[in-house]
This record gives sequence, C-alpha cells and structure tokens, in this order.
Amino acid sequence: MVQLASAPALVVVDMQNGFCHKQGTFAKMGMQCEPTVIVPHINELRSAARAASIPIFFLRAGFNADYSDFRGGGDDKNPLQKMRGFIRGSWDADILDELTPEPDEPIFDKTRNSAFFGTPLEKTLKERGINHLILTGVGTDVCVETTARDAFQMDFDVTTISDATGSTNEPDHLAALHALRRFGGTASTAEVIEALRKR
Amino acid sequence: MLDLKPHPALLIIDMQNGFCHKEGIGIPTANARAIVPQIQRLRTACREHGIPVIYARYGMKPDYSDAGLEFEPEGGAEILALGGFVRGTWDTAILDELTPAPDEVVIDKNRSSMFFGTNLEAVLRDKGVDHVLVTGVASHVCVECTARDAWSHAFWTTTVRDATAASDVALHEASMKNMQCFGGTAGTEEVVEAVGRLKTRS
Repeated sequence: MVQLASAPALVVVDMQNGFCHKQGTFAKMGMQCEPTVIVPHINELRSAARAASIPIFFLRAGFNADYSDFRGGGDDKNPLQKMRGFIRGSWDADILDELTPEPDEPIFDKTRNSAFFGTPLEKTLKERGINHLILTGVGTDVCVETTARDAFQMDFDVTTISDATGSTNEPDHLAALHALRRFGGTASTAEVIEALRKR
Repeated sequence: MLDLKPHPALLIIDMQNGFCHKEGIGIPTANARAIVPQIQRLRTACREHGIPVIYARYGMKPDYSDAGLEFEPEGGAEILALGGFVRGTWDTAILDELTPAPDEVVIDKNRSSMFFGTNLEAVLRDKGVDHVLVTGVASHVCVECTARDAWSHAFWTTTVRDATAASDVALHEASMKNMQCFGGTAGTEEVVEAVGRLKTRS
C-alpha cells in the first residue's frame, strides 16, 4: 500500500494536445501518447485530491514562436520546430479539454523536460510545506521521469502513478516505471485514492 | 559516425571503491570494474587532445545530515548501517586505477546528478565546454540523471554505452535506450576515433 507523507500534492505533467491529441504534433510524428486510459485516472485523482484538500498543479511545455527559449536556442532541423509544435498559447500547447485546469489549479509553463527547470515549482512547493509529489502525465520516461528524479534529489517523496502516466509506447512506459523504483517508486490510481480517502 | 562539438569534456562518474572495488561494501561491483579499461582508454585519448577530464565523487557528511532521501531505496538501509559513503573514507575514494591527476577536476556530490548542488555547470561554462561525454556508474542512476541534466542545460551529450554500467544489465540497457532522448550514445572506440579528428586544444 502506498504511504503518503504529511503534505502531498498532485502534479499533472504535459497533458497537452501536442503530446496526446490525435491531431497534435506527436501524433503527426507517429508518436502520440495515447490518453484514453490516463485521462479518466487523472480526473479521479483530481477529485480525490480536492476531497482531501490536496493542492493540484499542472505543467505545460511550450516555447516562443521563434523557439529562442528551446534548449540551445532552437535548431531549425529539429522536427518539432519544423512542424511548429508546442508554441506557447497555441492549440498544440494547450492542456487537453477533458483536463482543463480549474482556477485554483496553477499552471506552470516550462521549456525543458523537468517541471523544476526554470520554473517556480520548487519554491512554490517549499513555501506551501509540500513534501510529497504524486506524479501523473506524459511522457513517463521523459518529462515525468526527469521531474521525479529531480524531486527525489530535492528531498521530496515522490510517487509516480503507473496507470495515470504514459509514453509513446508501452515498453518504454514500463521500463520507466521500473527505473522509478529508485526514485520514490510507483503506485496505481486506486492505491493513491484509497490513501487519500484515509487522510 | 560520431561527431563531437569542438570543446568536449569527459565526465567520469562515481568510479569509487564502494561502487567498484572487488572488496566493496556489499554492492555488486563486477560490472562496474569491467568498464575500467574503456574509461582509461577514453581518459588517455582525451588527455592527449587537451580535453578536460572531470570526476564525480559521491559522499556524505559523517552524520548523513546532507543525505536527503539517498538511502531510502532498496539496499540503502544496509549501506547506512555500515557507515558507507562518508566523504573522505575508503568507500568514497576513486579507484586506484583512475586516480585523478592534479590537473583533473573532482566534483564532490551528495545526490545522483553531477550537476545537483555542485558547481559543475560553472566549471563547464568556464572551460567553454559544449559537449559532455558521460561515463561511469550506475547507468540508470547517477549517469542518467547527469545526462538528463546536461541535455537540459543545452550541452551536447553523448553517453558512452560500454563505459557505463549497472549491476542489473536490464536496467543498464533500458537506460541506454532512454539516452536517445538526451543526446544519444556511442561506443568507446567511436568516441576515441571522434576525439582523434578534433583539433587539439592547447
């Protein structure tokens, strides 16, 4: 059973059209992060978090129209850039309709894999005394895992949700969950909801 | 064929007695020892071309007040009980075969990433480094955290797949696959060949 520390928060990473929608950039590159299973689980976790008064944060990857804030200042040979994907404010960078954040669910914009890199997330979490992150979203092996690795090194307890995260393919998703045992471990949506109900 | 940016640096991560020595402290070390010849080969090639060599050395204060969650995962409690990885002790010393030279930088760290809580980024920028070659242990832990961070900091990143290791080969293989998103991998001989094609730095 999953043990939650005294002050958890739910974090939803990059659940955006560009990664998850069948008309988004990743789908056009043949790499859609299929959201069918993940979205309902994230919404169940959001409801349980609200009921337990646990804060919820969204992360959103996005870049300037000229990609000047992409790592290294952008590269016009990068397929993502050629397709003009994830430009901040565009439909591609928007969070999926089914997960539209509520007014009290802050959205942090990021330009790198980690939710912490160049964002006020660490400061915000520490100011609010949060000591445990419940991680959901995509991609399990890229932005979610980098965020988990960083959170663990920053001394946050971390639990990555096995059925509320996903990647471009199942083997990479499972391999990431395996590696994440070293960085806080994993749990299912149901296990976390049960733990939240008991608080 | 691998192409290096003009100013690479070689990172040698956690090749320390506790992780690598035959006597060790209870962690399996055979796979870590097996990569020593490749790291020596890379180090020799880099030194000949004036490429900086930078070591990471993992270790904690004697009271572990700086250890955070490092000993929470499986196996951590046993290491803590042995008083393992205290800075300045035998476990944390770099293997004799790789003893850093006076002109090689050693970065002390107390987390997985060589960038976390260290001055590595400043050291690399100061040396004008634009490409990091990542070696050492463990593939999926300190090596991968370092590679992910190097990539985010916009360094070109190449992880040397036969110069990194983990005691669990499946975890090593999965990590090398992940590296495709963080600059990719190359073999030792490819890297040595690429170094040979670079203009030697004075």
